[in-house]
Amino acid sequence: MSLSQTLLKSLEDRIASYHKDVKHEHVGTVMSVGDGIATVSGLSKVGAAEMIDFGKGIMGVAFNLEEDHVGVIVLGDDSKIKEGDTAKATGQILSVPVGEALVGRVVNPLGEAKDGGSVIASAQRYPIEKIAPRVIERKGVTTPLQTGIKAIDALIPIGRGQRELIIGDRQTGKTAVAIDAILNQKETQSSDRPVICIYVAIGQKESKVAKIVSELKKHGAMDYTIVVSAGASEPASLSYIAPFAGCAMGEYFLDQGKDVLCIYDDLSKHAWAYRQVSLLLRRPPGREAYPGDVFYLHSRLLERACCLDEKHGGGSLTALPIIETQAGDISAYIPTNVISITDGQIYLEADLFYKGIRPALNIGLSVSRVGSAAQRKSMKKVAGRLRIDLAQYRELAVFAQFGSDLDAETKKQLDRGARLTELLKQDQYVPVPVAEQVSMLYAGVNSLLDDVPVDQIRRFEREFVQFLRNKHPQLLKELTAEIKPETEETLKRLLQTFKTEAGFVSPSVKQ
Amino acid sequence: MKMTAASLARAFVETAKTLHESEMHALADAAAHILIEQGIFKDAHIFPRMVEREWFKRTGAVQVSITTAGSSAGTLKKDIAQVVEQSLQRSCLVEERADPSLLGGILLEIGDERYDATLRGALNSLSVQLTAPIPLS
Repeated sequence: MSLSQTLLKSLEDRIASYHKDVKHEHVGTVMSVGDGIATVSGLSKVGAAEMIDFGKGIMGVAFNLEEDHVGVIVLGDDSKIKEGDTAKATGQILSVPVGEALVGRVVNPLGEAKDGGSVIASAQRYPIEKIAPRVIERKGVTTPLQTGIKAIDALIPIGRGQRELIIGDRQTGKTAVAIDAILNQKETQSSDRPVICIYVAIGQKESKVAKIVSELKKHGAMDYTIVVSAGASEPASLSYIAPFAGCAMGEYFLDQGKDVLCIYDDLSKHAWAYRQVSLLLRRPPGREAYPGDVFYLHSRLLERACCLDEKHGGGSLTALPIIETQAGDISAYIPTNVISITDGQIYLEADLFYKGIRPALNIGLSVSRVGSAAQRKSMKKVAGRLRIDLAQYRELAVFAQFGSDLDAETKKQLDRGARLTELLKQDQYVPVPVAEQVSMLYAGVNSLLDDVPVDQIRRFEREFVQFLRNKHPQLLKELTAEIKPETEETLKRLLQTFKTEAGFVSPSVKQ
Repeated sequence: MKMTAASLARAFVETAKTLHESEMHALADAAAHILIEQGIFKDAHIFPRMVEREWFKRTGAVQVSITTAGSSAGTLKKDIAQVVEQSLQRSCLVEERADPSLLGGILLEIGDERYDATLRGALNSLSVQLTAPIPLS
């Protein structure tokens, strides 16, 4: 059947199935409107979080159910709504379109196309608010979610279904970590467990979102990514529903037994949006003027991240919420709330960023509470040692500042720490496959780089990894899973010979 | 205790019951004065609606509105009032309106329930049905 025939048949079917009935509606009258909030009288039978239709394509959500009026947050341009207008209750909870049609698209929190592309035709809709899976449906985190960032995959491993907070001041590389994690999921697309990514931009500048989308497109990551954007110029109500909408879109894939990565960038702005909406609705303010249920707001969102057992499809939803701190204060209200909800945090520090240590990860304050159970064997073998070496280095580096007379052992530890720090540096948009990470970290923790000058470490890494890719792809394949004794021997030998042959070791050190 | 527009509306209706019709203007002036004095004049635009709502709440009456495209509802008005009063066991205040944009038929509003049997409503729902996205598999 040709396209025109399909369209005609569809229209004929629709006309044939049309029945003219008396329409029964539950209506109210707009009493006042402003700042994205409408007060509606009537609607006596409306339910909490029910969608309200103001006509002219503008929807709202019943938020405050008072004795003689309803406080509604307007999801769109409230200037089109006038006092005295009729508002209709729809009888439906706010929902968004979900499905494969959204993959590769940039949408607003209502699931409408924002990228200038075609209308998103999706038959299924999911409610934005849903009770998180119960204990009985869940299983422990067992599969790693590789971010491609050496420092994170080695020291703060993330498992599929985990909630790992990315926290730090402005301009410390929080979004960069999240975007790199999305880019690294490209390698999973050809595996049996591909990861669908959802990036939720909350109150971000449109230019920033456009830049992120263009980077994702450039690296071919939009093929498996949905971008949900509630811009800074849009009403606070859209910022408020954005992470819930993104999560609902992810839950569709979760129900299909797939793995999903959801990034909420950022929940600080989400809390601001919720505070704005709540204060305009005259809900009582609490600490820092946030409403009393701001903890519940984030906990019910992040609780929806899960790893389901096989009986329930075996899918997973990993959440990477982002929080922006002010002047490094992680003990503020919203940061402490989200830290206590999540299964760990990646703390990015401005001082490290300006020192050139990028990603600017503070290893002391960063932690992953469940991810180590999901870490690959090969990575686990090198990561344990790496953690100890770096901890000793940090401790010694503080003392070394006070004096220059250091014994040989201390100096050796400081030198190794400097090399390991150099090894953990990484450029943006260049995620590293796990085998390459393991090979370099193995060299670092086993003193095989002690004779390579610190300023040559990154060049050594680049060239050695290239050498492995070209000449020893099989070894890289083996290193992905675990380090067997024979693999270890080969790797050690290759590192020694490459070091001398490529001229990384000075003649005096060679002797 | 700070006065709100809602509490003033309640007091307005309570007082209105004891007054003569000729005294209503004076009552309205007094209410406006109180709104200004209490710093709640921003709610003045919704005050009449609050009073109306309060009045219906107090008297237990139901507001019924019949909207047609042009011609008067005629005897239909009386019939509807009778049916509503009988089924709800409450007195009703019937209001008749004309709205040419309805094209034909009748729009009946009882409290916050609306029954749309107009031509405009029928055409709108047909338009929604015809313009919904067609999934092309």
